[in-house]
Amino acid sequence: MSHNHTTDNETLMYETNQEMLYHGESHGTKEIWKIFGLLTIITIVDIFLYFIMPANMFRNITFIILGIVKSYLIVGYFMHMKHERLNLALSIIVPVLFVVGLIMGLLYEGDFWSSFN
Amino acid sequence: MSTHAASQETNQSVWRGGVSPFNVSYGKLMMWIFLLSDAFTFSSLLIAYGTQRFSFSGNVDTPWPMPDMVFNHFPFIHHVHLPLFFVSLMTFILIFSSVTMVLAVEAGHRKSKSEVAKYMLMTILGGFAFLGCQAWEWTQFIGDGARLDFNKFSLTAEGMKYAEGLSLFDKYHWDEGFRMSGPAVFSALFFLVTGFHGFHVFSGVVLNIIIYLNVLKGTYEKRGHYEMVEKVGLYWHFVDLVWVFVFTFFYLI
Repeated sequence: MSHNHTTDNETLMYETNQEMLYHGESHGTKEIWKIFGLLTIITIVDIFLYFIMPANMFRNITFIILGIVKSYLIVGYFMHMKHERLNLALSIIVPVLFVVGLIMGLLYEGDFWSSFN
Repeated sequence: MSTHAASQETNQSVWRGGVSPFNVSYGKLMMWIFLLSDAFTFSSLLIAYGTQRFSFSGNVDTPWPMPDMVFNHFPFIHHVHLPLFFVSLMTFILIFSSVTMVLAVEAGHRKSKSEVAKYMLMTILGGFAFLGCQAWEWTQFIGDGARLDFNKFSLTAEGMKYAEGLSLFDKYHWDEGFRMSGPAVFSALFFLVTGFHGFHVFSGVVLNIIIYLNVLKGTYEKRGHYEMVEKVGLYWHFVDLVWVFVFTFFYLI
């Protein structure tokens, strides 16, 4: 809080009264335990599939999809993203989606390298 | 004229900085932006792992090790084939510490100081438990001969046959002819990625301890809200989120 602005009522408000923007209210603990149960079940399914399915690309894709479901539950409910404004959610999630392009490109590249290794 | 004066008083003018367009406080928004950049860092590490692994697919001279035959130890149980068991335990510890963190945030909304303190303490203990597990895992891996620039976990043709015949809970014993040195990048990336994640867990524990002490001191009670608990909570959940992918790519696949 620089003292240049202490006379500016608006800036003072914006820099100090941050709790104005904090409107946390309790939604109870029921949802938390539900999400915990889902995460536990998905992890157990992961372990189960690891032992019963043959190691192939289909199993790998299943693991990745289950991983994405787990991250949706963690980000959406534990990190509260589902209750944030849409513009905040999009600002954070859309840049991450571009990473998928990098994954595709570099896995393709790695596969190409395998002909030299 | 009167409305103009009112808006100056309550500072609701959107274009003059009175209102956050994201409807969250500055600190929380910046935590999200930081987590976004951290997500990119972890993505690049995991993508490097994927690229390297693909580049060794179908390679018989220096094959990629089978994670099954590398991480199959469990504390106090010797020479029993238990792949994935220990790392699943670590996963459950981290998920559970995430749950105690949300419970702390929820208690903060109700301004219940004693409950916030209780759940923060449980989260910190979960973090320490996870770090202890990781230290054990590293000790085991290094004891088996892994180095930053060396990996001798790749299986020879003979070892491959032995591994295929081995089932869960079997007693196993290693013949030197079963193993050979393979791509060093396997151990290098294991140390780098789990180490970087472990460092995040460690930083998270330090932040949690600071917040815990502030809760005990009554800092947030005086402030009137427990938003700081929510901000470090975001970081802590992110650490859990990264572990989901480390678990998937290093151990499951």
